[in-house]
Amino acid sequence: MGRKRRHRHRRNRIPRLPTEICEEIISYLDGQETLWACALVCRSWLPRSRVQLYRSAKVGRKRIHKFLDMIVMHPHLGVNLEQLCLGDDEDSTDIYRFFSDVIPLLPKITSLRYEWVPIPYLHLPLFSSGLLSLTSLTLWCIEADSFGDFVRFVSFHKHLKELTIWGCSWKRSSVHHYSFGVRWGRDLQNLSLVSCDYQRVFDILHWLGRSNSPCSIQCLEISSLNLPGKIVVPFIADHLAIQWATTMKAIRLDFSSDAKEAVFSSLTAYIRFCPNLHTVKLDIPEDTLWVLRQLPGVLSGLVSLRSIVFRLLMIEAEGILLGDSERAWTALDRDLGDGARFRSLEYVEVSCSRWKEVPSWWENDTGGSEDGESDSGRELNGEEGGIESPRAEKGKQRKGIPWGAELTSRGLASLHRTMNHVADFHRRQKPLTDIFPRLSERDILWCSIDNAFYALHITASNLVGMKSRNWRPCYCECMFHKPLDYS
Amino acid sequence: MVTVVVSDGVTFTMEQDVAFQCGLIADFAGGGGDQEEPIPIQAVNSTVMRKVIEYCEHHRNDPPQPEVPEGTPLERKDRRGRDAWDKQFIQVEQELLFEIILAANYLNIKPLLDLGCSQVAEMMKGKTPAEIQQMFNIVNGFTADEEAQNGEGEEKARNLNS
Repeated sequence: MGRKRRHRHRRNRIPRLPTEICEEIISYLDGQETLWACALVCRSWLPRSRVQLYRSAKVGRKRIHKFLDMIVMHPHLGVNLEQLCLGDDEDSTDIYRFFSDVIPLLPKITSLRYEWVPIPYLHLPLFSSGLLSLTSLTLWCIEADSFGDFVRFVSFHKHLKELTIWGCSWKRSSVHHYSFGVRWGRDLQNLSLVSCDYQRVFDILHWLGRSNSPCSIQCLEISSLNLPGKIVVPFIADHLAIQWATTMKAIRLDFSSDAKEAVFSSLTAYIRFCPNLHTVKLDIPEDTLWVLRQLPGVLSGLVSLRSIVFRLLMIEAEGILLGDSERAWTALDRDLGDGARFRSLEYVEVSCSRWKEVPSWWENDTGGSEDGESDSGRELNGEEGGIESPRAEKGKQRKGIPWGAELTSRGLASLHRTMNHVADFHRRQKPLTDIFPRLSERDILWCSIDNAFYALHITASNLVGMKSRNWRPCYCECMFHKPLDYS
Repeated sequence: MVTVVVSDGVTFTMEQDVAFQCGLIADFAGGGGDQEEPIPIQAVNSTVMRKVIEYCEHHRNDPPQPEVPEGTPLERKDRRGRDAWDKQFIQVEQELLFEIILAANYLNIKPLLDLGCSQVAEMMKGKTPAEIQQMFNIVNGFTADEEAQNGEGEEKARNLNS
């Protein structure tokens, strides 16, 4: 009895918070489990919890019809939906229903992702209302008969600001048959073309960069291209619209091509026309380190340049800071440290990733092929987990957790373990300060994991003595999707 | 200098730039000159006021924060102005934390209110509905039927993502 009374007494001392403050608190919650719990706390908490819960939804394998039923039966759930991922469904009637019945029930949706879903291209003109509020579209492994169909589908989303095309394909490159969407693209700012083959990339660049296009791209990413064997191909930069050069703020390109010299020369020719470019991110294979020596000379003419990110694609990660690489990095550090040439430079990131193969310590540590742990490994593998095409990865991903799944606690445990391994790896190497003379220990601000199995991020903030300035690494990380406005 | 008197009769004197971080005091003082009469703050006691002043003194030189619109994505919202000092400052007993939140709301100090709310959200993680009710001193207003219905509906929706 005594304990109960004490407990009641303690409870009564806790002040009651008004509903508007409780709602503010709920708005800070992001974990689904806690939000479910909040929805069941009391009547006044239910609406706000629902708003938070139904802001984003990922509808996976064979569940699209259930999702559609739920939205149709409870339209108030669709009203708050802002981000939706529809994935991995082979039933085209579900997708048809989505376009015909459900889209009008999602008035606030801003971000949509289609993964491996059959698009009802033939019926698109019937759904002419489109998704007016949508600003971000991701197409993951979407197939079309012709490029014309693909263009019509993209144009259906009328006010896009961000477009990501990942591993998509079409059988014919013809664009003669599409009739609307000619003036489409007025709002488009961010374009990412990833894991597509060269022909698809050219099709898209030619479509968006045609002379009467209203597009003005600010952030462009072209990476992880599927290479056509040993054939030397013209580089993408030769096909970038010259009218984009004036608006371009961030550019990410990879050098995974057999025509590296051509890549480099066309890139350097293009960026000279980009007076507002503030970020350059380059994916460089380990045999292309000569780029590091030449790049400072090319970039030094860009007075607007604020961030440079190098991402090395390594087969043998143990060698990333030794031998020739070490000398190349030291030279780079010296060149970039020249404050007279890089007046605006605030941020330099070097990120070395090994991919394709799972490191042996990973398998040892995760207990071999235990299901749970290997799933976590796949989770970490993520979107940039290999040079293999996403389509080739499809079989593997079906078995594991779908791409883009939030890290579970199990995944987080693996992440922490991996970070420790990276730290060990880091200690075994020469001290970074030997290689980057301008670095002091406290400048090594960040050692973390990226989407590959492991990666070593070395982030230096002091190359031009900007220690006292605001340093915002997280912005830079997501810059290609959420551009930082330096103004 | 600005003087305030709180609910238990204790008087606090602070410099204007500290005091004017409280929207209520700034409004009361009309934005100009020294305030001779103590401003009564009846909704806040001296323990909480001390914490509030400590917060305002630490942040007296901060630039004004831009207004974050409703519906801001969480990752951006949570990142606002939470440095190591803030984290340490807000590590207090739950009762005091709730009183700080109420005081921040009453005195109209938005950054402190945000800090308190995000700390409470942090404390709620992983709790069951019953534990949250206890934490917030809330009586369950759902009938048994409603509760079953809500649970069922939420369960259906939850299954979509699995």
